[in-house]
Amino acid sequence: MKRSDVVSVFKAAAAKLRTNSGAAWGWAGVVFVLFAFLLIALPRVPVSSDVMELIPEPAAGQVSRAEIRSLASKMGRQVIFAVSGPEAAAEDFSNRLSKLPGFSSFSGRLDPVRTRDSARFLFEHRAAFLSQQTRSRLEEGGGAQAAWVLSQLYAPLAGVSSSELTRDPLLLMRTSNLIDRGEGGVRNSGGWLTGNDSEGRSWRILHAEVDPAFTGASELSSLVGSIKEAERQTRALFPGARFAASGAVFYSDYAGSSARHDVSKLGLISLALLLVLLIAAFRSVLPLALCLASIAVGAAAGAAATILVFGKIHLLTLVMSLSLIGISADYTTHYFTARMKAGAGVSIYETARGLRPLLLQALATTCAAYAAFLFSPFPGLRQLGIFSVAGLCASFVTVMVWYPGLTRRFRSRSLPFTGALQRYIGLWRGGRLFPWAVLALLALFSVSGIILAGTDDDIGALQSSPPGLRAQEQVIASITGRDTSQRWFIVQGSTPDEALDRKDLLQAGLVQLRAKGLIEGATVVPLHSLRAQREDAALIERAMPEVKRRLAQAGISVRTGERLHPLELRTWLRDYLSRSWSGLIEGGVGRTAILVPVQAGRNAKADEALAALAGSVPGCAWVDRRSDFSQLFGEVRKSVTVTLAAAGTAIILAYGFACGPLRALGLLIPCALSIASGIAALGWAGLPVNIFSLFALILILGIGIDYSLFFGSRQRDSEATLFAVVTAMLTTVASLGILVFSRTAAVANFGLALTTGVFAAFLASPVTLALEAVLQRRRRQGRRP
Amino acid sequence: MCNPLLCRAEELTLESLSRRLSGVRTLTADFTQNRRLRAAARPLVSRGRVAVVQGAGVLWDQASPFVTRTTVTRQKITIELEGGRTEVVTSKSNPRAFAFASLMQSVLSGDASAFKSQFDVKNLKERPGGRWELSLAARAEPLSRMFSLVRISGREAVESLELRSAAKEVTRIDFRSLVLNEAPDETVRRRLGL
Repeated sequence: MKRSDVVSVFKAAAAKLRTNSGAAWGWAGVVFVLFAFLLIALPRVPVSSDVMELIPEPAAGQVSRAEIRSLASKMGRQVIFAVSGPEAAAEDFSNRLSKLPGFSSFSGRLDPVRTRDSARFLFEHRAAFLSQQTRSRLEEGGGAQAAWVLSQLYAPLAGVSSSELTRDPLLLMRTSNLIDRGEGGVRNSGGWLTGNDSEGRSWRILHAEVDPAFTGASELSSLVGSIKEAERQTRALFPGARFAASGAVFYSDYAGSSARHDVSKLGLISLALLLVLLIAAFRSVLPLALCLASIAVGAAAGAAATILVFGKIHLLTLVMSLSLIGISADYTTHYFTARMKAGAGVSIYETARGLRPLLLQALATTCAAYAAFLFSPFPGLRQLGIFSVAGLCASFVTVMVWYPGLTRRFRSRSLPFTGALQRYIGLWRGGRLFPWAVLALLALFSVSGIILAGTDDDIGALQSSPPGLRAQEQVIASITGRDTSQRWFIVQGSTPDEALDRKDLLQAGLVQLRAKGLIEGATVVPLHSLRAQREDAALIERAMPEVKRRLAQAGISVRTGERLHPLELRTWLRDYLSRSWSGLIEGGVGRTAILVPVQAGRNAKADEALAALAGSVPGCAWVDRRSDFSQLFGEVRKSVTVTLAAAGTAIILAYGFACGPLRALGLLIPCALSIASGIAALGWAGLPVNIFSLFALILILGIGIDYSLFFGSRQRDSEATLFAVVTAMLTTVASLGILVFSRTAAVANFGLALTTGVFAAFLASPVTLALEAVLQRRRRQGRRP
Repeated sequence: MCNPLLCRAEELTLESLSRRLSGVRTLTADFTQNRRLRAAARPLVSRGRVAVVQGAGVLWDQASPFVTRTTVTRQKITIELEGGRTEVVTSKSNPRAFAFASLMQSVLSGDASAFKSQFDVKNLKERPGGRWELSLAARAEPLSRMFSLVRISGREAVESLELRSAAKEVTRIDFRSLVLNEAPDETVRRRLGL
């Protein structure tokens, strides 16, 4: 082929594309490529759901994020059950639970033989678990240890027996780390692990670990269902028995079922409402179908652009961006309104062309607002910016290029409710009391609501957890002394010994924090490193003669010369009673990580001390998932606020410069009032302003701009604009505002702010009409002599 | 005194005993403790002074064969050893040791509700001269291993205490020169944090 041929082929193609059907087919090709790309790319691209990935720099300096995540997921799979009542009830429940397929390990009643063997094993290795207190006594010398042993011997209720004394003359087991676990009184009694709650009621404790393969939403839901069923059956046999359970799986399952509720129930209601609305407005199902098509194309384009730019996509970005490009549904509304109003002789293409400048202006302004997120320090928000800009543009092209060809059969007809629309427009055009009263009321609502509003970035406030779960968790916490606040230290070492040594260093610091009352306690792995065990063995040997001498004075002779065996971490974790500690330890090639959960009140002083302690121990990090999340949410919230304010100001200044102060004011008033109303609604409802409300505000800004632009444009008649805006407002409320009924607090928060903001935008957007009327009156008055 | 054939004496129950003992707001006494361990060639005898303030705690000050001062309050046990070292046990750090020590407090102040949850009443007898004897058996481990049988006897207050372990080792404590319901002195108040 000659060069001129190639050029001519391209020219022909370009010419074809300029025709209406050519453009439609060309866009169809692009959309096909988009979907093909997504089909290939999506399964290969990492779709992350870890919120922590949204923050730019590593959260905990000394320990990798992957490490934290893996340990957190291990912790998250632990489930603790407690049964109060007859032993047979615990036995029955335990039997049922142990048969469930979702647990990788389960322990209920302790095997008596193995328990005895294990107790002997631990006793033989008691020197590997010396407590801080014993160690400091031994360091002081044999005299101090002897004084303590004798005081125990003579103490009326210490209960030192002959057999204890002869087997363990230094009474090492009494104050061993194995006894002093720093947590409440979980003990081995009658073949069960038992503990008392705060009311003194005794509970039997069962432990389970969820199989990692079982953490998918549907598996989890069936596992939680089976647990509930097992409880129901045991309860039927033992009506007096009480049950409690705690574990992250219950929360995950609840969150999952809430999400399913939102998607299935709210989604269906929303779709039904949209159908009714659009059919009522346009007397055709075509708008709904096309609206969904344009949003689908927009979502595909947004996802493709995000993947192309970032190489990955975050689940949260996906969900949030989808609602942001939902605004493109309004383009459909405006198109069909214009088509309905078009005269008999006007072709569909003319209608589309006539609408183009205005829609383009709206698109450009909204995109400018969303594009501000490209400059955010948070990768997640940059993804959001790319996704929504690409998505909105693709939706716009879809409306402009495909709609004309697809809506040939949609006939022009008169606007419904024309009289009412005209009267409402008349009220604004009159420029007298009505507009200013509406604005004043909106302002009053906003100002008073904003005074009531406050921010809260606590992730706990975002999740709505059923009170039943909370209460059970509190029961378990009071029995075991361990809370589930997800606050822990990670201590890491290249060998088990290094990790254990660092753990001891950390423990010494924790003892001081506890003495100062900054923490309530900590769950520390009781085993010492081999190095520390050797040192302890030397201390024990040194103290022994003096203790022996003092006991002999009291008429007691004890055997000495027992060999103290060193105990390795791996060997210890295989022990029957000690296995339960393996949940806090992760070993791999060349590294060992130990978790130390801490029970402490949330206050700045304690947080500071804990972070400082982590900094002073090598290979140690303080992980507070909840506060990390909260901090992240707070930072994102601030970042979004700044971006939103900057984008809004820039757009209004640009309009003021290009189109004059009147248009700028016509944009500023509705945008400011709608955003303020969104915040105020939260204030009135007693809900906090958080990251999710901020996303609603972004959407409100885009919508406020659109509505005002349509009213400000003099190219179209205001009744049609009003009709389109009302329809658009109602569709937005039906599709996104309905989220106010979500069971997830964060999503409901979004829905409330959005609904109020969009309604306020609708109320305030005709302000340009009133401003114009005032200006005209002034001019007329000026012309009069 | 009324004729036993004509009037029925009030039957002695744990509750009525507890009511009687609850009249003892404070108590100080000299104690002699005698422990017989199989491993020991001779009994371990210790002497000292005890002070109980109901609702506040117990001071157990051993004077011989060596000096140890023990303070038991609701929150913690403080043991001052010879040589100046002080050991502190809290309910959290060593629940078992703490539970045993608090038992002493409830036994000495006759707080029936406290030991009713952990013990079964084996025997409760009234002796001539206003004397009574109470035998208790611990219900569950670990208490039952260390104090399988507890015998308490006294008149207005507890005068002797016998603890028998599962291994049949016996600890007997006798209280002499009891002083009841006298306001605690400055040292006692300071040590109990009153």
